[in-house]
Amino acid sequence: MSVIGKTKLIELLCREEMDERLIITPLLNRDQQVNEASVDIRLGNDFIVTRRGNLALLDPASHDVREHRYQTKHFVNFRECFYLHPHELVLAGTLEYFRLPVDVAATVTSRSKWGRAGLVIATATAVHPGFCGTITLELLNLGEVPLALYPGTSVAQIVFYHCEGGTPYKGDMAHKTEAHFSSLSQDNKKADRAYWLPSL
Amino acid sequence: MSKSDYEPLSHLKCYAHILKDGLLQRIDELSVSDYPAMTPNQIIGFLRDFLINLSEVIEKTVSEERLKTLSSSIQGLGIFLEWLDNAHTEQTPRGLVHLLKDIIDHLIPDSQVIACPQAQYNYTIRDLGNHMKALIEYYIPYSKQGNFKKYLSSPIKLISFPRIERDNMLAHTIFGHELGHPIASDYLEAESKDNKFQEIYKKLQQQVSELVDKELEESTEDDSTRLKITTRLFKEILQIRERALEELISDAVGIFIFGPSAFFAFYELFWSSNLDAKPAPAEFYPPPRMRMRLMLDLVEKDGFNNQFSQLENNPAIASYVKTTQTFLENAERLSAVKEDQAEIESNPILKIAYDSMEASLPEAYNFAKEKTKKVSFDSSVIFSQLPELARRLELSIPPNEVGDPSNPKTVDYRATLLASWMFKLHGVSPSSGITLSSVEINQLHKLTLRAIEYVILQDDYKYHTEDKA
Repeated sequence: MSVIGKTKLIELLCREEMDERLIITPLLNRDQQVNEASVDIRLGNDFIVTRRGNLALLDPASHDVREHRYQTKHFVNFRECFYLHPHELVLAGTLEYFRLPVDVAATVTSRSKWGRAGLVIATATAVHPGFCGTITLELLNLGEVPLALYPGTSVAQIVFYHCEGGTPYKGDMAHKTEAHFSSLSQDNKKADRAYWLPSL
Repeated sequence: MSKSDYEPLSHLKCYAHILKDGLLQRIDELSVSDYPAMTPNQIIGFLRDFLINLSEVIEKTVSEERLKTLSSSIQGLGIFLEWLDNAHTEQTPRGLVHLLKDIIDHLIPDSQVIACPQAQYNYTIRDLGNHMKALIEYYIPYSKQGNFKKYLSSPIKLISFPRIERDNMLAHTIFGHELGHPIASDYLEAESKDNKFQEIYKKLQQQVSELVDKELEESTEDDSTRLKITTRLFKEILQIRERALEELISDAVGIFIFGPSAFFAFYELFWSSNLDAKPAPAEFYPPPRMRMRLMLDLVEKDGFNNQFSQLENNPAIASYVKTTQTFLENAERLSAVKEDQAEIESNPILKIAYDSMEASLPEAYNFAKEKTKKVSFDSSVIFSQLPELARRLELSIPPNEVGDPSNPKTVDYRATLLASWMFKLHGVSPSSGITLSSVEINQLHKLTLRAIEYVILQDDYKYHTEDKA
């Protein structure tokens, strides 16, 4: 598995067959967004914030209460900002929509500038081959001061790898068009959950 | 008056203040919501300033009747709360707001748009700006009216759509029809000032007189009664004619702006209704079957059928074209039934009104076409974008761009809508081999909405960055 560099990234983005092509749309400024070995990605308009007072705990063994009770969705227009306070975790969608061919996987990571300001972009960073949709970023401010986040700014980068023997991703995170919270108690891929978790 | 006497005027003032303060408080609560555009915030600012000014008006009012009117008006303003409460981004797709604003801007430059879902299954576009202006003119002293100019300098349109269809971007093409209503009003106003209308008017008068004479041939009614009947019938015929023109011009505007997608949305909206329903008071809607027939005529005349035929041999889209063509053939069969026409022919009042309307329809269509020139559906561009957009939808990619992947071109969002409609029609037909579940169709709606948002963003980004360069 090797990291895909700039020239190969451009080749991937321009593959003749659409189903073999790496799709990143809209790539508003290709010249500036495609780096030496990564692509800068932008913050979308949707943020999901947890209302702690309404949430007892998140436990995969118990059925979630209605997500709407403990989650607030915020839509932030372009040229407006979202304040991420120290030690606060929010979910945010990327502006770009992705479709990875089956021979490519990726990881999402912070951009250095933002990382040094205390912003952690993603904790679960893997993007599987064949993934399709916007990526939900887990934004965490580990710094000491609030950070002003503007939709459209490049806060993260995605690094691509060649992947051999990959199969198209069909999990819960696919086909999302906005920030998405995936319930811990509904994991379709884990059929043996009943074995590992206490019964209610 | 002793100190403990009840004072109705004071009670009324207190009541008006409580209402006003309650409304102000609710408006403040709504001001923290996220809205897809600035207009709701501007309306909140307007209402806040209006109510603050109204406070002084209430204080200075010495008439009980006037205070009652004021209180009743404040109660009426409660409807703004419903609109604003539903206009935030969790209830209203921002792509819809931006798409409609883009089109409205071409028809009425510098318009402001607020969109919100409503419980009723109905699509409307209302002139909110005029309503707000009337509030200022009626309640605010002339010396202070100038302070509200900043809120009312551009037209403000309130767009409502059925809440149940909130995420269904494909159904929202019905707004093409709603955008047609002001154009239809303009036509009717222009027509009324035209000399030709005097001829139409005279002819209708003559036909009504003949009808009344015939109907009352053996009656002993006096001249005054005859005159009353003639006047009533004449007014009714004018109303039927006008209402038919309003709706049919609006249908045509839908086709001129959104192309075949407007017909697809119309079809879904009306398929469960009585296609041959006669025009009836008070709305006098023309029969849906007639509307379908006339829209299909426009689809043919504007060359859309021909454009579909030209794509028949393109393997990327041939199967989608086939389903769309068979859908249109099915609609043709439905519209070929002439029961609606027979109903109208058999009713002398409807016949006079509809004969007159039909004679004016070609001119009305030309008028509407001219008015929608800046936003007209450019089939030569849009149809060429469809094959690639269909492929994107097959791969669950938003249909927002086509062409050389090293330099992709943003599409016309009408192409996005048409490709999605064709994809849906294909997906609901089992013979196509691919049947979409309702979950997948919902996914299609989301992809379409996303694509429209991207198209608008990409165009705006290009415009601003190239402008600066």
